[in-house]
Amino acid sequence: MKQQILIAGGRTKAKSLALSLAQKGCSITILNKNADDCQYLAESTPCKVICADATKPYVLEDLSSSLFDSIITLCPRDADNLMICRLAKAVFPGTRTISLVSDLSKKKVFTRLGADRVICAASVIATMIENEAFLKTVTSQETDCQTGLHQMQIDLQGQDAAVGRTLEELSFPAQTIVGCILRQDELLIPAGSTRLLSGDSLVILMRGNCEPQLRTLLKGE
Amino acid sequence: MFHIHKKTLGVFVIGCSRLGSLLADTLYAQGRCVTVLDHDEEAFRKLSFSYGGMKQRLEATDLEELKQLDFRQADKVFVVTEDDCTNVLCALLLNTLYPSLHILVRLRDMSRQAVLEDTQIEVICPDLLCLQQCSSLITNHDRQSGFQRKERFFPGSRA
Repeated sequence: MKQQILIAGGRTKAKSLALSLAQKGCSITILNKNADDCQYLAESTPCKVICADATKPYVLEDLSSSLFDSIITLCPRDADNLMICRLAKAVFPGTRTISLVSDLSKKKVFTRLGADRVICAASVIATMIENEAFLKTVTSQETDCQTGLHQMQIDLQGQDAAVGRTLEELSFPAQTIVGCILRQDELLIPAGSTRLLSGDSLVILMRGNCEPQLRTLLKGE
Repeated sequence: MFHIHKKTLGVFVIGCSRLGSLLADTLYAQGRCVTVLDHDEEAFRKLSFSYGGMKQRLEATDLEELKQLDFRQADKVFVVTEDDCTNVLCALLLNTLYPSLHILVRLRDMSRQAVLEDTQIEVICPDLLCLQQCSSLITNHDRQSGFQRKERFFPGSRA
């Protein structure tokens, strides 16, 4: 069955998220309290758009006949997002709530207060920069030692050889390891049983330059 | 003649709304140690001239700012900003920071009460209080005028 997803709040964020999720075969409903935003969203997406304030309990109760797998809140104010998540927990028990939060310090508290997944743009950027800086120091130190630690990133696309296979099934060259996988916005630390999907970005650590071998193995080039 | 004051615990009023300012004024007049907080300093103009308690700027939903204020010396905190969502978030943040603090929250929309059901936070709904007042007025009036109530039963409704 199609995944049912409710997106509450947001204008351009809601639009791009709705379009990309609709492309992946999800059935999207958009809730927005601003009539102008609703007009824009209805024109630019193929989704069902409802003009209503999602922080009002009766709005969610009216929607309770449909079973949503996930509810994503994209309101600019953290307070609204939390209210929607907590109301959703009462109206749609068992639904996953994903909330945007603008304030990094509130990220942890939000998880405890009712949102199942919390996404903070600031923290995503911060970790990205941290990771990049870390990898840079590692690689530069290693080259100093002449041991030659290399790090490379390979993005998998639809028809690549490795898509749909687990890491165990692929025989990676010696002295290489898949450090992590970036899947959509999630960071995965892979195990042997991790199955690779189209759209994954693999960060591979290796000693010496094995790039050509890895490209043949993963992308079939 | 001289009272030995025990160190009194304070009352915090978050949101200098119409209710907030009135509450702060009243509590101060009763001799309590009151601190009123609002993100907009203009809002403090709503306080009466006789108010001599503390006023402080605070972004009610900012976790860092809430941490900096020491609520351990507070007896009660009233969260009465104009917006329900802000109130709920502020109260929940306070509740996580200080689990033993007595928090009272104003919720305009009483159907939102469910959001705070599983917590220790106390909810005040103006509509409910108004309703109680109205119905007691009506009851008094009935007694005087001798109106006989008949309970109506609706099909499908359960007593």
